[in-house]
Amino acid sequence: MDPLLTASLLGGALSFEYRTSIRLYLSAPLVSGLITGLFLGSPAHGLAAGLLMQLLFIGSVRLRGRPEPDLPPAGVIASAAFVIVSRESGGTTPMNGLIMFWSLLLGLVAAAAGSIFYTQWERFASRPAGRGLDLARQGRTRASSALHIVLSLVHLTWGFLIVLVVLPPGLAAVRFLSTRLEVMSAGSMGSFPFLIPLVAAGALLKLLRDRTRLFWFGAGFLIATVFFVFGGGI
Amino acid sequence: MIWLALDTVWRLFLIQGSRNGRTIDGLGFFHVMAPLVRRLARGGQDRADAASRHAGYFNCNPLMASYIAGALTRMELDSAGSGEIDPHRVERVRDTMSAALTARGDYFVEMTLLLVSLTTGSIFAIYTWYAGPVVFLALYNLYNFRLRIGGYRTGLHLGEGTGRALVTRLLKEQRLLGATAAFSAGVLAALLMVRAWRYGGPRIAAAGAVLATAAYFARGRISPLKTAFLLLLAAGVFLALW
Repeated sequence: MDPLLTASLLGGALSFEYRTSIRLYLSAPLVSGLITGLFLGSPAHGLAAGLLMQLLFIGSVRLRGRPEPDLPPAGVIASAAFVIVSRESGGTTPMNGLIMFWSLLLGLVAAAAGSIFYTQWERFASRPAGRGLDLARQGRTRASSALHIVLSLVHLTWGFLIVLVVLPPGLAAVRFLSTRLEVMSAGSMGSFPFLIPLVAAGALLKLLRDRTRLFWFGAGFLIATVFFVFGGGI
Repeated sequence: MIWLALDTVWRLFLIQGSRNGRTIDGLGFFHVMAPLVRRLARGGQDRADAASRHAGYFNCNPLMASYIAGALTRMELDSAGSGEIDPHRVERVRDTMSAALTARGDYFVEMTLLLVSLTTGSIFAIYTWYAGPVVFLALYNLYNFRLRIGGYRTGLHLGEGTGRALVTRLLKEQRLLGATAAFSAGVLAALLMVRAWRYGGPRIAAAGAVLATAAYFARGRISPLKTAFLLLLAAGVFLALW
């Protein structure tokens, strides 16, 4: 199947999985990256992009009423872009760092677009949902349930469309920026996959500030540091 | 009874599909309770009355909603045998339980369950690649299914008393899981730092420490999305200029 169509279908299915609250968390970038990679023929590349996307958002707690980044399609887009462009470029390490950078940025653009869409959608959906409850109060339970299912399918459509719209120009942009932008083609971009995950360390520390949790965080950090440095566990 | 339970439980997995700004998950919750309504009243005004008791505002963590659905089902089935049911009582129980369980459930899921699953999954992903996502899914879904399916059963069994019993149990588990989450977060932070040092050298490790500090101060002040954008760009610019 065409990679674009595959990624779009995945984006739709994972958006539906997350937004309707089936929420097995196949849509978490850590998992969706691997799934995207599997479908596009390179699970390792998919997982690498998904893991970095996940680490960028680890420790960010969803607050009710606040817009949240739309991660399900974002994970798919970042992983698909990384898999496809890496394969085309032959996949040398510094190049991969550069492609990873632009792929993650592309994923973040999709996450932002989804965040704006859902803020508006939740406002708009009030009216049909209210109509559904009116139908329920009249005893028309099946009509009410049908309306609920129809509203749920919007998530599937959104996930499908955002990947379909963002990925083709996004792929062209990632290809262009990874090969033509001289200033960023230096070897140092190879360190990108080791640098950016450290965002997670700061975010986790911020989240675990109360005394008990901070104690356990510190204990884990110290024990693991000793193990990794002296045990050579990496 | 078994068909009613099955018909209700699968719907619990779609409860947030019609989420909106006014009634939040009201329509989704009615979709969950619809099989019960159809069972209670065959049609006409009786069905409209039964439906009205469950058609309204609803805002609760999706994993905790199963307890409320179970408890309300028990109330309805008990009163179906004895006669009238006070619609205000149903509404009161739904509102009280959802208010109590939302805060507790959100904290448990977001701050504890997701954190321990994601940090452990990420550690495994860095170490062994494909085991990471599997470990994450296994840890999270163990509780996911337990809370949703087991929650409906508990609600059905305990009725109105479900809320207190659940909060007590969650508090107990939260303490242990919270400590585990914090410990594994510490391990993950150390792993990321040592990797940065080993594969990128002291300069990348130092840049990473700056990035981690920036993430620490940015979180809570600006949105996670903006934080991610800014730090990603900062890392890219640093490496490009280096």
